[in-house]
Amino acid sequence: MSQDDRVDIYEALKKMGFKLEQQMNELIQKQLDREDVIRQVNISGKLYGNMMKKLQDYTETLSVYLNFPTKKDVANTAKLVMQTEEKVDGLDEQLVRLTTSVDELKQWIPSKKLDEAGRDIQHFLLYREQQEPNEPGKVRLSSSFGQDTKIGKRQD
Amino acid sequence: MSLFDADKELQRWKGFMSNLTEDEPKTGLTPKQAIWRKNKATLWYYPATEKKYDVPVFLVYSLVNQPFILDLQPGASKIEAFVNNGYDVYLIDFGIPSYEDKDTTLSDYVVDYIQKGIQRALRHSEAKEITVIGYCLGGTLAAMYAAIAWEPIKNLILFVTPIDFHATNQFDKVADELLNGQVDIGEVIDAHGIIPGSSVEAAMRLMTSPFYFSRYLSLLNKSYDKEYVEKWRRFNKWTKGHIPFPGGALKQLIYDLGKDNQLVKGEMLIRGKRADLSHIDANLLVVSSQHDRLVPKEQSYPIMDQVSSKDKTFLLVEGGHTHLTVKKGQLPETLTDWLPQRSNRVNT
Repeated sequence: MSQDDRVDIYEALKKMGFKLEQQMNELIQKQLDREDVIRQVNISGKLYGNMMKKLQDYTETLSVYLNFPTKKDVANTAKLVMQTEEKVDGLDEQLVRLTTSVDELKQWIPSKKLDEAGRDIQHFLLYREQQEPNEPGKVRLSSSFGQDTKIGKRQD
Repeated sequence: MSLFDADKELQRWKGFMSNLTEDEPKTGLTPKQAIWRKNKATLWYYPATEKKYDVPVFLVYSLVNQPFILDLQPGASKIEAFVNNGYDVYLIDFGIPSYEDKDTTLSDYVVDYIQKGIQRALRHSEAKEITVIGYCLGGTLAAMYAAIAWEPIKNLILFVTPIDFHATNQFDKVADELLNGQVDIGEVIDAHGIIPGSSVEAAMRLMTSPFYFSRYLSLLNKSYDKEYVEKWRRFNKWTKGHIPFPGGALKQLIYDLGKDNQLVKGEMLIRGKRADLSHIDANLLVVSSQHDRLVPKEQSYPIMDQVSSKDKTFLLVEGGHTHLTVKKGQLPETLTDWLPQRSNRVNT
């Protein structure tokens, strides 16, 4: 008897098993895919859902008297952590966007031109302030770039 | 010649029993680093061994099971195959949701995790475009995202992805009753908040194989082969590793997608924005399996007529829902030519 002629019981078992499994699955799925079964499952589901909801409500009430935290309390605490994480994530996004914008600006405008642009803005703001009447408490730009002066009432 | 090979039989039963006696096999062994975390989700980065393409790959996996199936074991890992073929890979791992995530919807997954993850991946990789790959329900999420995306998606690849939820080939009566409003499990979902992993597994089994003992017969048949046993154990770990499903996402899946079929009708709203499949103009590859009982090809094909993509391909391959195995570290046959042709080569 050659090796090829030998009956491999494991291979045969596997094939038979696959076939049996397929037949059983088809039978089950066919039996379940019936209107009466589906409607019964639906009714049972509703009963089960209502019962569970009532149990949860009782537990919530009981937690007030017995002073223990429920699953909802734990979840609410976790949600607070998630909200904080969300805010930090938002800040991180903004920081990345700002850094990217500054980097892009640096690439587009050479540092010398950036200084010139700053001086132009400075001159323009000073000119505009000279045209407008002085008001106490108003912040004015000084003639030297970067130093702000405040205009107040003269004390003398 | 003897009919009984004692050594082989000893090896066979030793291998078979190892499933019960040995520690759980390790998965997800391809080198990776976390580049972003949010709630339970992590964006993993798998750097290419030798980068050959400018367009990184972004993977979106299903919500019912864990994504380690994409990185099962060295030599049989999809992620490893991408990395070894010169692609940077990003994987959004949604993690395992808990009770506090019960209100998370599919829209939340799309905007807060997939869209943000893709933005992070684009920034991290400094790439101008990205390839998005979705598997099963992850493919549905990827398609939903692509329908509202403003990020530069070069390629969209969907494996065994349900798009048209009215195209069913089993449980016709259940589908009819659901459509007629005769069946409503909203109260059960609300009562649970989050559906336990064991219930998710039971539901998936019911839809595919309520009885599932043939895997043990397959193992017994070849359990003298150590390599086969290793792979079987890892795969078995995945098939039994269903994770909880948030009630909010399940309700959206049942009502918006299952009952109203909103995605294919172009009626789905994601944070007030209409998810219009015609908005998708990326190169599109849709892959379905001939013997897939969970997601038949009829559920995937309709996206082909909805998108604006000029370059679109539909492939029907042999096998079932989880056929997409990797052989000898190579990309699946469906991607071998398609993806390199549509991913810019790095200038050297």
